[in-house]
Amino acid sequence: MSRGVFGLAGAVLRDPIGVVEAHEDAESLREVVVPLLGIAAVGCGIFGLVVGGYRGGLQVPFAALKMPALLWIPVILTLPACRAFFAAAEIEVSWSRMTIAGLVAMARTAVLAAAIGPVVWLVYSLQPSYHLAVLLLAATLGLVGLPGLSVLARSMPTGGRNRWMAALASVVVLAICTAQTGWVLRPFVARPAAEVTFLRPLEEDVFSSLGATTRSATGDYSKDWQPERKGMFGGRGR
Amino acid sequence: MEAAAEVWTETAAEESPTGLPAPSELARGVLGFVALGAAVALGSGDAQGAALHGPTALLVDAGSLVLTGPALLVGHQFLDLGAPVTRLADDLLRAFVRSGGMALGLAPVFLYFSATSGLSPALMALALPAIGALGLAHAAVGLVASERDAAADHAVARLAKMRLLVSGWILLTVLVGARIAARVVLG
Amino acid sequence: MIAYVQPGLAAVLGVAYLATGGAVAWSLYRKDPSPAVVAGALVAWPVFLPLLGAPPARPRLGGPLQGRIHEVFGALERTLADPVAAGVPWDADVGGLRDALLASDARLGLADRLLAETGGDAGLREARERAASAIGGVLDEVVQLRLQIGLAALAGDEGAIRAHLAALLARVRALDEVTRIHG
Repeated sequence: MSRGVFGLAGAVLRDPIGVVEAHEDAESLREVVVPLLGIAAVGCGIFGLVVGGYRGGLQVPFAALKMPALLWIPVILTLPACRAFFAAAEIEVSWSRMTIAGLVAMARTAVLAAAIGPVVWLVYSLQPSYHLAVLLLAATLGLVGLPGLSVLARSMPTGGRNRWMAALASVVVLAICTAQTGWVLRPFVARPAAEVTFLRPLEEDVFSSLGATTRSATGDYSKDWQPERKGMFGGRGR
Repeated sequence: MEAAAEVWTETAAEESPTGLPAPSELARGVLGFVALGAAVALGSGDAQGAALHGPTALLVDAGSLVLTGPALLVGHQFLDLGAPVTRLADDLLRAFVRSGGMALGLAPVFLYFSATSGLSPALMALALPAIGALGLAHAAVGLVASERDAAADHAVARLAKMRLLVSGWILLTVLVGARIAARVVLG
Repeated sequence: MIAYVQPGLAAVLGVAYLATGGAVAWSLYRKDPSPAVVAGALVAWPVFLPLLGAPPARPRLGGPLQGRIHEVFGALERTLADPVAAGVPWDADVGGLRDALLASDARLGLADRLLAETGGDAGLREARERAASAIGGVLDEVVQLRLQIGLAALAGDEGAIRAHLAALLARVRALDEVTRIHG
C-alpha cells in the first residue's frame, strides 16, 4: 500500500495529466481518491510543521493541522465554479474528471510544499522578521501552487471557445478563495511574542488587511485600521 | 393576401421545434440565480439587506431578458430576417441557462465569503455584470450563427442587419439590466 | 436576525456537513465496505460524490503487477495517442496484450493468496516466480516498444513495431497458457 502511495505521489509529480486521464471514470477514481487525499494531507501537514516552527510550541501542531484545510477548502469551493466556467467556454467536464483534477492539483501542490519545507525552515532558522516570514510563506505557497493550478487548467478537455478565459477565471477565483482561507485560518506564522491561538476571530477580510499592511509598509499611518468582526461566523452586528 | 398566406405557411414550416432547453435546464438556470442571491443575502447582515440582495441576481438577469427578448424577436421579424423564431428563442434561453449555471457554480464561493467576511455584496456587484456579459456574448454568437445558417442568399446584407439588431438588443438589455439593478438596490 | 445566530449557525453548518458526510459514507459503504473510503467520505465527502453513481466495487482480482501494467500501458497509450503516431490501427493489439497480461497477473495474484494461506509448495512457488519474471520481461519490452514508436516517427518503420507487438502478444499467450496450467 505504502509503495502504491509513493508511486502515486511520483506519478502526480511526473505525469499529473496521465493520472487524471487514467482515473477520470468513477470506478478508477475510487482507487485513488483516498491515497490522493492522504498525500495532500501529509504533504501540507509537513509544510505546516515547518511554518509553525517559526513561533514554535503549540503553533507547530496548530499550523500542521490547519495547512491541509488551506488547500482543501478553496479547491472544494471552486470546483463547481471552475466547471461552470469551462461549460461557459463550451467545454463540458464530467464531475469525476473535475474531482480527480482538483485532487491531483492539490496533491501535487502538497508534495511540492513538503519538498520545499527545508528551504523555508532554513530561512526561518535565521529568525527573519515576522513580516518577512509571512511574505516568505505567501511566496512559497504561490510558487508551489502554480504547478498545481497548471494541472487544473491543463487537465480540462481540449476544444471549446475562449478556453483561456475559463482557465483564467478559474485561477482568479481559486486564488481569491485561497487568500481568504489563509486569512480565515490565520495565524500560520505567529508573532514570536504573541499568544498562541488555533484561530483568530473573523475580522474584515484579506483584501482589507492587505490594504492596511501595504499602507503600513509605505509609511502611511494616516488611517488607523480598526478591524471589525464580519461575516456570519464572525459575530458581525454584535 | 395569398402571398401573405404563403409567407405565413413558409414561416410556420420553418419554425419547427428546434429543441428548446428542457424545463429542468431552465429550472437549473433559475436555481443558479436564486442560489447566488440567497448566498449573498446570508451575508447581508440584516433582514432588510437579505431581502434586498436575495432576488437581485434573478431580477437583473432574468428580468432584463424577459423584458428585452420579445423586442429582439419582433425586430427580427420586422427586418424580415431568415432565422426561425424558435431558434432565436432557443439561443436566448440557452444563454440564460448558461449564465444560471455559472451563477450556480459561484454560489458556494459566495456563501463562503458571506460566512467569513462582509465582501459578498461587493463581489456580487462584480460578478453579476460578468455573468450577464457572458450570457449576452453567448446569446449574440448564437443569434448571429442562427441567422447565418438560415441566410443562404443575400447572406452579407442579412448578417449585417442581424449584427445591427443584436448590437441594439445588447445595448437595450444592458440598460434595462442596469435600471433594474438600480431600482432594486437604490429603491 | 442573521447577525445574532453565528455560533449556532456554525454548529448547524458543521453538523450538516458531517451529516451529509455520514449519508455519503453510508451510501458508499453499501457499495464498497472499504474503511478508507468510508472514513474519507465522512470527512471529505465532496470529492466522493462522483463515486455515488459508480457501479459497486468489483472484488480485487488483480495480481501484484497490476499497477505496473496499468502504468506501462497508460504511457504506451499516451504515446500512441500522439498525432504523429496516429493512423496505425494497433489499438486492438495493445488492448489484447494488456488484457492477456492482466489475466496472467490475476493468476499470479491467486498463486500469492494460496501461498499466503497454505504456505504452498516449492513447485508452486517456483512457477509463480517464473511467471512473475516473464510478465516483468514483457513489460520491459513494452517500454522498449514505446521508444521504438519514437524511432518509427522519425524513420518510419512501422512494420517492425507491428512485428514486435505480435511477438509480444504470442509470448504473453504462451505465458497465459503456462500460468493457466500451473495456476
